[in-house]
Amino acid sequence: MSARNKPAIEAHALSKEYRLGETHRDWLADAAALLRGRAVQRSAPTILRALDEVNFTVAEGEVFGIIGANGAGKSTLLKLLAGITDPTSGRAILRGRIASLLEVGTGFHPELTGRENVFLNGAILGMLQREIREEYDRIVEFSGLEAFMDTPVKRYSSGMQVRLAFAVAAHLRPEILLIDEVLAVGDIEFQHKCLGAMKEVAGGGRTVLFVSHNMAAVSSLCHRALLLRQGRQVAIGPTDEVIQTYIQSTADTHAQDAAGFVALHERKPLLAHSPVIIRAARMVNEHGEAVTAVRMGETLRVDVRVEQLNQFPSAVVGVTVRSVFDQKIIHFNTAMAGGFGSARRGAKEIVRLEIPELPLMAGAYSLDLLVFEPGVRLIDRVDGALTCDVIEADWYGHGYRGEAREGLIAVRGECRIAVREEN
Amino acid sequence: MSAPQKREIVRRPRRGWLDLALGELWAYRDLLATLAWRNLTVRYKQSLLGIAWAIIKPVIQMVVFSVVFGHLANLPSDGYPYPIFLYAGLLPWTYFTTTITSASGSLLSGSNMIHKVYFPRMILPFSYLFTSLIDLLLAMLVLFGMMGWYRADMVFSWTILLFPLFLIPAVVFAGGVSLWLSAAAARYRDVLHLVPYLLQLGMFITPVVYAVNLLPERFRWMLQLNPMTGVVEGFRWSLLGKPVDGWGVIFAGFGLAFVFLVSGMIYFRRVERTLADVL
Repeated sequence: MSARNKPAIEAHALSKEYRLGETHRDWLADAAALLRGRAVQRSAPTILRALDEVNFTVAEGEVFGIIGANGAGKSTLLKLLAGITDPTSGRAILRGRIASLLEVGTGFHPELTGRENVFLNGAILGMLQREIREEYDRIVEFSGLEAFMDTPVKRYSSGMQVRLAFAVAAHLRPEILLIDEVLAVGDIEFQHKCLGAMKEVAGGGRTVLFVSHNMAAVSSLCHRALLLRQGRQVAIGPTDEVIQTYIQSTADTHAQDAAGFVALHERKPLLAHSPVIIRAARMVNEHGEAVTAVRMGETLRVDVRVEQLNQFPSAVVGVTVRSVFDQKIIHFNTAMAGGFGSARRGAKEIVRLEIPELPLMAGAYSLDLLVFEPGVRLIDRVDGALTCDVIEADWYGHGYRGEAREGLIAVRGECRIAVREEN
Repeated sequence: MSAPQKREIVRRPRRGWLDLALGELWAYRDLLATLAWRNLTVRYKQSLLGIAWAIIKPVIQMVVFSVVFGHLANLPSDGYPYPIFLYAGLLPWTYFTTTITSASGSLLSGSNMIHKVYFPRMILPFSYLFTSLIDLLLAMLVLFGMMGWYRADMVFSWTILLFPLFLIPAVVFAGGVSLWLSAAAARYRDVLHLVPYLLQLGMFITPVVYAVNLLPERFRWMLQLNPMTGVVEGFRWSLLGKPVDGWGVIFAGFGLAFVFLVSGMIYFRRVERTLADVL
C-alpha cells in the first residue's frame, strides 16, 4: 500500500482512564491515625473512563469535527492525539508533522514584548526559528498590531493578545492540525477573520481535527464528524447527520424522575461554601405534564427545582434559550416578571417561569438555567439543562409552517401590493 | 512500502524504562534555545541595570564572603589571596545553585505549556542549564580582571585554556540533579521547600569558602567524591594553577555526576508519562 492511501490519523480502541481522589494522600493524617490505633481510611480510587474505545480514521486533507457535550471526552481525545498525555489502552497513529492548538497564546509571557512573544509562542508550537523569521511580517500584518510589537504583552488588552496568538497559530505549517475551541474568542470581526484563516488551512490540503461547541463553525468547516457522549463514540459520518444526532441525543443524557424532572444536582457548586442550588428542571404543558416540546407560538413553561434559594433574597432565576448554533436568543427571568412579591419562602421550592407566545420558529433549542444576583454575581448555572423542540404549527393561520433554518425569531406581519405598475 | 518523509507517530501506553527519547530532545533544540533565551530575558526585564546583575551579584557575594570567611574566620585558601581563591570556586557553585533553584520548579511554572502543547518535557529543566551558563560566562569577566590585578602574586600557565572542560561535569551534574528534583517536585511540592536547605548543605560539603586541606587527609576522599568539589578544584587548578591531589577520586566524582544524569533521565521519563494528569 502506498503512503498516499494511508489515512493521516487512525485511532484504534483508544481509551483513557483517570483515577479520581487519590492524587495526594496526606501521610501526616495517615500517621496520626495509626498512632491513635485507628485504621488508615483509604477510599478506593474512582476510575473515570474519559474515553472508551474510540475508533476512527481521518483521510489526508480531510477536515474532521469532534462534537459532544461538556465532559464528553473531546478535549481528552485531542490531548491523546497531541501526545500531551498517554492513552491507558489502544493506540493512535498519526502520519505527518503535528501541531496542536488547544488554546491560543500558550506560553505567552506578560513581560516579553509582542515581537519576543511571537518567537516564543512559535517555538512552543513547534516552528523553527528560521520559519518564524520567514513568516514574521505576515504574522504581524495578520494581527493588525504593527504599532505594538515592541510593547510588553502585559500592556495589551485581552483582545489584542488573542489577535497576536491566533496570528502566530494561523501561520503554522503542519501537516496535521489539532484545534480546540479557538473561535470562541475575540470580537465578531476577528472571529470571521479566524474562520477565514481556518477555511484556508482546511482548503490547503492539510488534515484538520476540529473540536468545537460552535455547530455553525463545525458544519461549515468539516466534511465528517464524530459525536462523543460520556467518552463513548455515538455517531460518525457526514457532519450534518452527526449534528442532527447530537441535537436529538442531548435530550436523554440526563436522568429523569417520575414527574419528568431532569436531575441536575450532580455538579460542583459554583460558589464556595454554597450548595448546588439548581437541583432539577422540566418543561410542562398547560396541564402540568412534563414535555420535551412546545408548539410554535404557545406558552413555554419551565419548572426549576431549587434548594436554599431563600438564602439569597435578591437572587433571580432565569432561563436562556439557545439555538443549535449556540447563540443566546431569549433570556427571561423572575425579575422581569416582577419577582415573587411577598410569597412565603422555603428551603426547597419549585420556581415556574412562563413565556407566553414563544416567538421561535420550529426547530431544536436548548435551555440554560441560571441563578444570579443582578449586577453582582452568578450563583448557579447549568448550560444546556433542558432541550426544547419547537414543533411547527399553524401559528400564522394561513397554513404556512416556519422553520428555524429560515430564521429563528417568529413574527407575524402583514403584506399587500403597495405599488402596481401598469404593464 | 514507500513512505516518503512522512513521519509516523504512534501514541500508545508507554512501557519499559530505558527509552530516553534522546533523538526527540535533539529535534526540539530550537525550543530549548528559545526557552533559555526567554528565561534570561524575563529575569532582567524592567530592571535598571539589566544583565549587569549577572556580574554584580557574584561580586557582592565575593565581598561579603571574603570579609566573613577570609578575614573574620580566617579559613585557609592554600596560600592564594582569599578573594580570588574564593571567586574561582564561587562561580561554578553559583552556577549550580541558580540552575537547581530555578529548574526544580520548572515543571510547575511551565504547567500551562505542559497541559496545552506536546514537547519533550526535559526541555523545561534543561533550559535553565543554559540560562545560568550565560550568567557564569559574564561573571568570568570579573575573574579575568582579578587575575590581572593579582598578577604580581601569582603565576598563570597554559592550563587557563582548560577551564571550559570543567564546565562539562558541572552541566552534567546540575542537569542530573535538576531532573530528579523537578520531576519529584511535580509529584510532591514538599521538594520545593527542601531545595534551599539541600543547597545550603551542599555548600558546606563543597570546598567553596575553604580549601580541601581543612579536612584530615583520610576524610578528603568523601569531599572529593562530590562532583562539585571536582568542578571547583578543576577551576582553581586551571585558572590559578593550584595543585590538586586525588585526581582519581575527582574523576570518580565526575562519573557519579553522569550516573545522576542518566538515572535522573530514567526517573524523569517515568514521571513524564502522567505529568499532564498530576500537575
